[in-house]
Amino acid sequence: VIADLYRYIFGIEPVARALDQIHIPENGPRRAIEPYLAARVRDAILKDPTTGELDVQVSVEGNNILLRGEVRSVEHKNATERVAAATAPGYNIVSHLRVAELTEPEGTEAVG
Amino acid sequence: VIRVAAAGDVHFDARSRGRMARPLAHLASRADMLLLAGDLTQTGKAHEGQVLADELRDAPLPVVAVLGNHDFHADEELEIGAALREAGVTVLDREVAILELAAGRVGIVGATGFGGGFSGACATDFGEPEMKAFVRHTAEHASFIRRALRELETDYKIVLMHYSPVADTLHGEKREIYPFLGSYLLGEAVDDGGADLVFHGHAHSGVEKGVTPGGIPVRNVAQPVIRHVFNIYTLDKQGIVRPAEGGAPESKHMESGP
Repeated sequence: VIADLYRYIFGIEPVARALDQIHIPENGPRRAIEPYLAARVRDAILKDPTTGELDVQVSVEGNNILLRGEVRSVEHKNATERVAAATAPGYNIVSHLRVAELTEPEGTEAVG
Repeated sequence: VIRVAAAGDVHFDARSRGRMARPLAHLASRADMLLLAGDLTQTGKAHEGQVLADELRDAPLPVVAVLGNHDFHADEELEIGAALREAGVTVLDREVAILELAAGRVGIVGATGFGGGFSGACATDFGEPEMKAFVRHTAEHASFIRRALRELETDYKIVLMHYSPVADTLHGEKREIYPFLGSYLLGEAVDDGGADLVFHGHAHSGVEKGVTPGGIPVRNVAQPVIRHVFNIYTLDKQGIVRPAEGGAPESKHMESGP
């Protein structure tokens, strides 16, 4: 009814009809907005039960997901890269993650 | 002199087995206690807490811990605490532990703490219920710390928390996230109550050494900061800071900041 009124008053097809004709593929390739994707990957790395890593910085450059920071073991590094890949399918994972080495302290500090 | 080994953010999970037990075996001759400043687990699951509990079960010295934000993530903090206590660890949730050592009695005031920020950029108890709840949670922890320190009558007083009481030890972190890393309310409570030393964790990109505005040394012992399984600190009675009349402590610790 609204479309008919619009046509009657203005003598043209309503804009909504024109928009209907624009095809937006539901599953077609759609570029993610980089800051949102980076945040989503970081969130997944933090929340995934196999990772839970807080010290991983994530950035998106073109088709690459860059991972930087430090994790506690090779297993954690591998898991982090896996979660990033699963969260951003179609992107390359470029990992600069380092594995932390913790040693026993040699000395003590006198405080006070 | 008392010798305190401390670490935070050990972030244990199933892949961490063996990381603590071996260094602990060497610690008996070097320290009188081990303090753990929260984030004992990686994702807050009870089974992760159990891995750490198994590591600490045969510890050759008293172990005292507080929980961190990671330990609350899966709503299994009670199970984590229970596993650790069953293994002989003293887990403090706004509680006090007293250790009797040959060198004197040591009071450890333990609370996770919470965020809110620091002077000039902090959350206030105003507005939406969610914001007020955020700030009041920190205030409750601060209130406990102040009261516990004032009531403690031990030779040494140590505060163990997860969140930071000062901005000093956060240098290196993004300033935008300081309100999520600690609160001046915690530092104010420590200064009001009087203490010898404060340990915290949580700020992985921060620095180890800081001091409260009242002059009490603060150490950020998060493992990514200290780069060791733990660090060891010594304290002697000369270093005790007692609350002055009116609440503010004397500033006997003259250490500079980081």
